[in-house]
Amino acid sequence: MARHRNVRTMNYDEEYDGYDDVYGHSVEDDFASSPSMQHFLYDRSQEHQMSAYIQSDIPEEEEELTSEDQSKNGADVGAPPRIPPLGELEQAQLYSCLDLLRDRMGDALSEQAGINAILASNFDAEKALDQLLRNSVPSSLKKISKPTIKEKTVPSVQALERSAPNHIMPSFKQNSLASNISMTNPLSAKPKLADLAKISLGNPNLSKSIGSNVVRPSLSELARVNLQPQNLNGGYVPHLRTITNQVPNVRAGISESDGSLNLALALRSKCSVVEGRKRTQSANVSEDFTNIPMTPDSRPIDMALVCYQASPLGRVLATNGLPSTTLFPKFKQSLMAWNGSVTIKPFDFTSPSPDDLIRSRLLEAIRGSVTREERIPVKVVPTKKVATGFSLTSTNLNTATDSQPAKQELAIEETSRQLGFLRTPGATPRSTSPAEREITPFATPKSQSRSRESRLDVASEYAKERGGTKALLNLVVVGHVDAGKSTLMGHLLFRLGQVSAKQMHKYEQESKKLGKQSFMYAWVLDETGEERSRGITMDVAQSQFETESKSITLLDAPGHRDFIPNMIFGAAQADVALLVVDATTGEFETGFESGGQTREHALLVRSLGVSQLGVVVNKLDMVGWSRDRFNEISARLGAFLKQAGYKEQDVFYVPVSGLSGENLTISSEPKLTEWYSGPTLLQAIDKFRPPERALNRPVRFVISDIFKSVGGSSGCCLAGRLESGMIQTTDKLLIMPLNEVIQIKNIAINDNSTGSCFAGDQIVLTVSGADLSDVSLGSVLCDPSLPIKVTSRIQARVVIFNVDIPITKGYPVVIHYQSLSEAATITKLIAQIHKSTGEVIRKRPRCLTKQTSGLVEIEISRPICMELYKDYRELGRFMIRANGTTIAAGLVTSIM
Amino acid sequence: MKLVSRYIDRDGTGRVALIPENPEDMWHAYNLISHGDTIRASTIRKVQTESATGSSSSSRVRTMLTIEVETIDFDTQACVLRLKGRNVEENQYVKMGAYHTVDIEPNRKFSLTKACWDVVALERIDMACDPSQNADVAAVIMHEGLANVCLVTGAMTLVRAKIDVTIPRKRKGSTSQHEKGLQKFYDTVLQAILRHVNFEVTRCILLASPEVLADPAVTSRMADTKAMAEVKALENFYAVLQTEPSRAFYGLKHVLKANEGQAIDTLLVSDNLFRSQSVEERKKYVKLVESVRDNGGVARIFSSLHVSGEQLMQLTGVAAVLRFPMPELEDEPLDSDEDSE
Repeated sequence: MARHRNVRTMNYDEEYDGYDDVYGHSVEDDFASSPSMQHFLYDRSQEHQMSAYIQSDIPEEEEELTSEDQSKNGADVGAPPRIPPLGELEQAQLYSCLDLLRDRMGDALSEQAGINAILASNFDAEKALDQLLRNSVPSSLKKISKPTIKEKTVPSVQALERSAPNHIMPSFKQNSLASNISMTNPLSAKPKLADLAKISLGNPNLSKSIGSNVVRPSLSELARVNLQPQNLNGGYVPHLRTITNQVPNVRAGISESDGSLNLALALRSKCSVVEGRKRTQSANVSEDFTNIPMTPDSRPIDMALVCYQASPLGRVLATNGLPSTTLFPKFKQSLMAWNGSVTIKPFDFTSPSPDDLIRSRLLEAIRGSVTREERIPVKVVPTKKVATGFSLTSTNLNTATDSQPAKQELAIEETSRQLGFLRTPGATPRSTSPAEREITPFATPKSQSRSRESRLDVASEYAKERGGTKALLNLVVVGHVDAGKSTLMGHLLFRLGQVSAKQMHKYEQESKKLGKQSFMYAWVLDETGEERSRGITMDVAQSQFETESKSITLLDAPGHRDFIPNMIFGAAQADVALLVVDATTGEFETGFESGGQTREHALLVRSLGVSQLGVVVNKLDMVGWSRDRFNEISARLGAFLKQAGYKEQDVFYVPVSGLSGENLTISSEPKLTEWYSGPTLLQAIDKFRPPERALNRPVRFVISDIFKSVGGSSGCCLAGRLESGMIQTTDKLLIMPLNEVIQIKNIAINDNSTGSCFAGDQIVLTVSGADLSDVSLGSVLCDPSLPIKVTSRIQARVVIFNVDIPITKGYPVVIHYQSLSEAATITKLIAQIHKSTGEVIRKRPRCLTKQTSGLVEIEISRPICMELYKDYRELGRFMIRANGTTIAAGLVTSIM
Repeated sequence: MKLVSRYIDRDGTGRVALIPENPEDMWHAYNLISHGDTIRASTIRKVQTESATGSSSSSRVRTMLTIEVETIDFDTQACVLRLKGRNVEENQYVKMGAYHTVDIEPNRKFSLTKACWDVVALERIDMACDPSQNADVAAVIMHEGLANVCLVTGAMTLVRAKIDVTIPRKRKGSTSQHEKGLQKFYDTVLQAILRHVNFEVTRCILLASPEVLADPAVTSRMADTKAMAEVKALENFYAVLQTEPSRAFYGLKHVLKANEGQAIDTLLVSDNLFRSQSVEERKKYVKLVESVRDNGGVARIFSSLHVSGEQLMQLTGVAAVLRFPMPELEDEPLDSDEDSE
C-alpha cells in the first residue's frame, strides 16, 4: 500500500514537462492519413534529412491552420467530381471517354481521376487509359522520380483539384507530366510543408531558414522547393520530372496551409517552362524564385494571394485592401512570364460551393422565411471562351522580360484582376444570399450545370423539338350541370376520329340498356361506373384532339356543384376555357341565376387566370335554332362576363347542338346557316391564342394524380401539368414538401414516351426514389437548386365574390390550390383595398363584405407548396370556399 | 354528471360534490375547476415506508386527498382531467404541502370548493347535470379521399379518426385504379367507424359531405342540440354583420362599449375565456355575462371544442349583436392588444 501511495503522490508534471506538446498532438495534424511506421524510422536509403524530424520549430499557429484545412479537405471527399465548364460536345466526349475507362478499369477508377486523365489527354480515351494504368503502379513512378521524392510527398492532388476544378484543364500539353500531376496516389500522405521543402531541397542551410521564417511559410517554402531546378542545373536532366511531381506537392501543401493557389499555379507553370526550355532556361527561372524567399517580408504577396482563397482570414485581409503587387517586381515578372497572352479565369472561392447553395436553398424553402428578393433565379453567366488553366502554347513565355516595364505593369494589373488578386472591398461576402450574385457556370457541379445549361437553351431546345408541331393548348370545358358539356365534347371527339365507331356503337348499346341513350357521347369522357349510372361527370376527364393549327388537351370538368373542387383543379390547369350553356327555355336561366354554376364557373375560371373564353350555346336545336334566343343569351352573358373581367374581344359565342352534332365541325342545318355564318366550334377553338410558356423558369410540376405504373415496373407515376421549365428523362428533381430527390425514369405525353417535356405540357412522369405512399396530391416537383416554398401561412390579396356572410378574422374556409383543397383560417384582415386601384380604403377592417377586395393573412391547416403570384402566376392563385360556395379568389402576395 | 351535494353561501363561497359519469363530464369539470380552487377526491398515492431496520418499501395506497389546484391538464382526445397541486389537509400518508396529482376518475365523487362561485360556474353545473343534454351523434364527414370520423356531443366535437387516402384519378381508358382506390377508401372509413363508434351509446350516425349543414333537412333535425344553437347564433351574428355592420361587433373593447350603452341583445362568449389563469380576467367576463343578462339580453357560452366555438375564439372570443346600431363604435379602432399578435 505504502508503495502505491508513493506512486500516487509522485509529481508527474515535472517529469513530463511539455507532455501536452508531444502527446496531446495528433499525428493527424500532420498527415492526411495515418503515417506508417516507415515515416518515423530513419532510413538511409530514403536520404532523409535529420532536420525533417525536428518538430520543435514548427509553430503552433501553422499546425492549426493545417488541421483546419485538412478537415476541410476531408469534408470535400464526398463531393461529386468537379468538371470544368465544357461545351456540349466536349462534355459528351468526356462522358463517353469516362464510360470507356470504366469498362476497362472497373470501379477502381475514381471518377475524378478519370475525368482528369481524360482532360489531360485531350479526350483521347486510349491515352488517358494509358496514363491511368501507368499511374496506378506507384512503384514505377517512384523509380522515375528518384529518391528525392518520397512516397509521402506524392500529393493528394485530388483534394487540391476539388478546390480548384478549373485549373485542371486540357492544357496539359505534356501528357505524361499531366498524368503525374493528376494522378492520385491514395496511399500518399500529405507532407508538412517544411518537410516537403527540406526533403526536396536537400539543402540543410535552407531548411534552417525555414525554421526562422515559419510564420508565413507558404511562400518561402514554395520558392525553396523551386530551388530544385538549381540542382537540376547541375546536370540532372532526367529529373525534370521530379520537379513536376514536386509542384503538385507544393500546391497541395499550400492549399492546405494557406490556400495560395495562384502561387502554386505560377510555380507549376514555371516548372512547365522549365520543362519546355529544358535546362538552359531553368537556371534563370529558379533564380527568380530564389529571390522571393530572401525578401525579408513576404507578406505583401501573401496578401495578394489570400485575396481569393477560401479561408476567412483571407477574406478579411482582402477586404482590408492591402497593397497587392507593388513590392514584388520579380514576382510580377514571373507572373508575366507565364501569363503572356492567356486569360485565366480563376475559381471564385468567395462564392459558395454549389452544395452549400443547394442546402441553404433547401433550408430556406422549408423554413419558408425567405424574402422575395432572395428568390430571384440565379443569373447564369454565359460561358465565355475563357481558357481556364494554362496554355503552354503561348509563345511569348520566354520573351517576357524587363524590356517593357510599363506595359508589364499594366499587364500585371490585368492579370491580377483576372486572378482575383485585386478584389475590391465591396466583394460580396459568403454570408449573403448566393442568388443575388452571379455565379460562374463552372462553379456548379455536374448535375447542376447540366440543368442550368439546359435551362439556358430551353428556348432553343423547345424550338427544335416543338418548332414544327402544332401549338399546345389546354382547354377546360365548364358550365352548369346538364348543360351538355360531356356530350358536346364526346361528340366532338367522335367526329374527329378520336373514338372509334366500334367503341361508339358499344356505348350506344350500353346506354340504351340503361335507358339513357342521350348520354352515349358523354360516356366517351365519363368512364367510371358511378358517373355513368348517375349521369353526371364527377372528376375531370382528360383527352386530346387536334385542330388545324393546335394540339388541344381537353379537360372536361364536372358541372355539379358538389364537384367544384375537381372543376377548380381542371380550370387551374387550363389555358383557355369553353363555357357551355343550355339554350333551352328555363334551363339557361336556372344555370345563370344566382345559385347556378354558370356564373360561378365563369368567375372561377377567370380567377384562375384564364382570359380567353368561348361561350358555346348548346341545345339550340331545342328552341328551333332561334336567332333571338342566341342573341339574348349572348347579350346577357356578355354583360356578365365583362363585369367578371373578360375582355370583349377574348370572348366568342358559338351556337351548336351537342347531341345532334350540328356546327361542331361542320354546319349543315339550314335553320342555323340562314342566320349564322360564323365559325364552327372546331374553327373557333382553333382561333384561341396559345399563352406564353414559362420555359426559362425553374422547374415546377404540381402533382395532381398519383398511381401505380401500369407496366408492372416498380416506381410510381405522377401526373400533372408542367408549370414551368423543362424536364428530361434522368433528371433529378426535388419533391416538396417531402424534400426528397427523385429521378425521372420516363416522361409520357398522351401515353407516348418522350425524352423531354416543356412548360404547359400535360404529362405523366414515371419516377423512382420516392415511396408512392409518401407522396400526396399537391406535392410539387421542382429544381433542387431553386425549390418551391413550403408554408402554412400566407398573405394574400383576395377578391370577395357575392357572399351572404362577410369575412371576418377567424373565418374558417377551404383553400383550393391546384389539385389541393385544404382547410384554412383567415387569421387577420390587414386592409380593405380598392378593387381596381389597389388603394387601401381602410386598415384593419372589421370585416370584408361582398364585392370588396382586401389584404388578408391566411393560416393553412398544414404546410403546402406555394409560390408568389408575381413569380409564378399559375402557382400564386387560389380559390377560397366556405359552406359549399366559392367566396373569394386570392393571389399570394407574401409567404410567411 | 351527478350533483351529490351543494353548499354555497350567499357570498359565493361554498362546496359542491359531483360524480362525473362520461367523458363529456370531464370537459365540464375542466371548465369548472380553476386555479386556486381546492378539490377533494379519492386518489392513489405511492407511499414510502421505512421499517425499523432501515430498509424502505414503497406501496400504493388509495386515499382521500384535498389539494389546492395549481395546474389543470385536459386531454381532449382521451378526455382525462389531471389536477396538480399541494396537499392542504394532512393525513397519515401525505404531509401538508406535499405535491400530488389527482386524476379525476369517472364514477367517483369529488368535491370542489371555490372561494367564489359565479353565475357561469353554476350554470355549468346545471348544464352538466341535465340528462337531456346527453345525446351522442357520430358523424362521418367525407370528401373524396378524405374522411373525418367525429363524435358530436352537447359540448364537444371529437375527431376520432381522420382518413386521408390518395385515390388515383380516372384516366382515359382505365378506371380500374380509380375504382380500386375508392373501394379501399370506403373500406378504411368503415373500419374506422367500427373501431371508434360505440353503438351502445351512439344513437345515430351521420354520413355526409362537407356541405351537410347547408342542407335544411339536416339542420331541422339538429335544431334542438346545443351545438346547433351555437352555430345558429354565430350565423346570425355574421348575417347582421353583413347587413347592418353597426349592429354587430366583436373584440372585447367594442363589446364592453356596447354593453355600457346597454345595447347588447345577444352576447357570444367562448368558454376559453372563463378558463383564464388570472382571476381578474375571469371576473371581467363573468361580469360582462351578468350585466348582459341583467339588461335582458342573452348570453351564449360557446364550447371551444365545437367548430363554432373555435371560430368564435379566432374572432377574439367575444362578439355581440346589438339591439340598436351604434355607428360611433365602427370608427374606433379594434383593440390594439388583440391585433398586435
